[in-house]
Amino acid sequence: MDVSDNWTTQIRKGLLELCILNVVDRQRVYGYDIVKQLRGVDALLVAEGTVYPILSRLKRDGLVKTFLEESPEGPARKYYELTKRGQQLLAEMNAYWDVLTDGIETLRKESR
Amino acid sequence: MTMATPPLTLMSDAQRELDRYLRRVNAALRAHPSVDAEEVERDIRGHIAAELADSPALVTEARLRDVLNRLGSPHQWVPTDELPPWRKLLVSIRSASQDWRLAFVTFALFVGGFLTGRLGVVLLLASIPMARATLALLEEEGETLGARRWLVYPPLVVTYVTLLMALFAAPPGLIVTAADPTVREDMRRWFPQPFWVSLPIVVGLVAGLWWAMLGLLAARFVRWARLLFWPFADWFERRHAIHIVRVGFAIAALAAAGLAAVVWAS
Repeated sequence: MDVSDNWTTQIRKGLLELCILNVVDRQRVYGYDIVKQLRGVDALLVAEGTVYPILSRLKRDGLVKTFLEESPEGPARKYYELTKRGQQLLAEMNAYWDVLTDGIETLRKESR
Repeated sequence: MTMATPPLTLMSDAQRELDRYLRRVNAALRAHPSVDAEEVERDIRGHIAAELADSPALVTEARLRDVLNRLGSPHQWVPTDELPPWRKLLVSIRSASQDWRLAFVTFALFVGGFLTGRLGVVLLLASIPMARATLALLEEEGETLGARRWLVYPPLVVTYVTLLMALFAAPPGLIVTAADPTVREDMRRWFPQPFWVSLPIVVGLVAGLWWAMLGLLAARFVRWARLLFWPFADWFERRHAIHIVRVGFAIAALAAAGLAAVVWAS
């Protein structure tokens, strides 16, 4: 059971970054909305707070940028947007993901 | 870039819970160089406000706890492998909550410092970061210190009291220097009055100006002052530093008045 837990934790950590970048790629998005969209992916978001340190790190690495925008519902909100570098990296990550999942799927089909 | 925090009206116990949680967020993330702890804290505040936007006017602790539970424990947000080596070591020594091992290691270093020879200084010095790291780890995990304080506080109290005395009592060192006959002779050139008259004036001037300077530094770097004497100086604010400046200048002014009186009399 420990091996399984550890494995899913590691997988989740790597995938979370990919998913966040994909959410931010679609449109400029408010931090809380990123969490709401990720909630839709079962078993991905065990602790919702995990998203914010990742966003902070992505910003530090120059993959996303932030800006404040007035909100009709109250105070200004911080929005996230992919930088050029972020878009390039995301394209590479998505391509890698496609190759990986295709390969794994083929292996699984062969073993059936 | 700063972000305005949406206004939240929490019941007093909910507010205490939120403050405690945000302290844990800060404690858990400040050791990670890749993360801006203050920015994440602002994001978390925004998240909580957005989650509670549809709540009744006064948010209860139960409602808040529901949101905090979904956010999860801050020390699980960032992987342990990103921690600096000393932090990893501490985490590995601690096995579970209510673990007393770090507190015992701290106290053993402290006591060992007094019992061993030259090595003692190293042990004593080591007990200080160990005590602070133990406290930081407990805070990060939202654990109360409890009776462990009797093991963790002694090295900090001894160090901080010594440091405070050294900082504030440096000018009285002048008294010791002034007791030297050659220095007394030098002072007599400037102050023909008896030594017992000139000494308090000189000490008062030096001590007053020194304390004023310390106060100004503390007022400029309040956060550093708190950090230096953490966790006992969380109450310290700029107004306290200004008070030290005032006392310093008052003493210096008294000494200057004494000096003027002496010069005028001679």
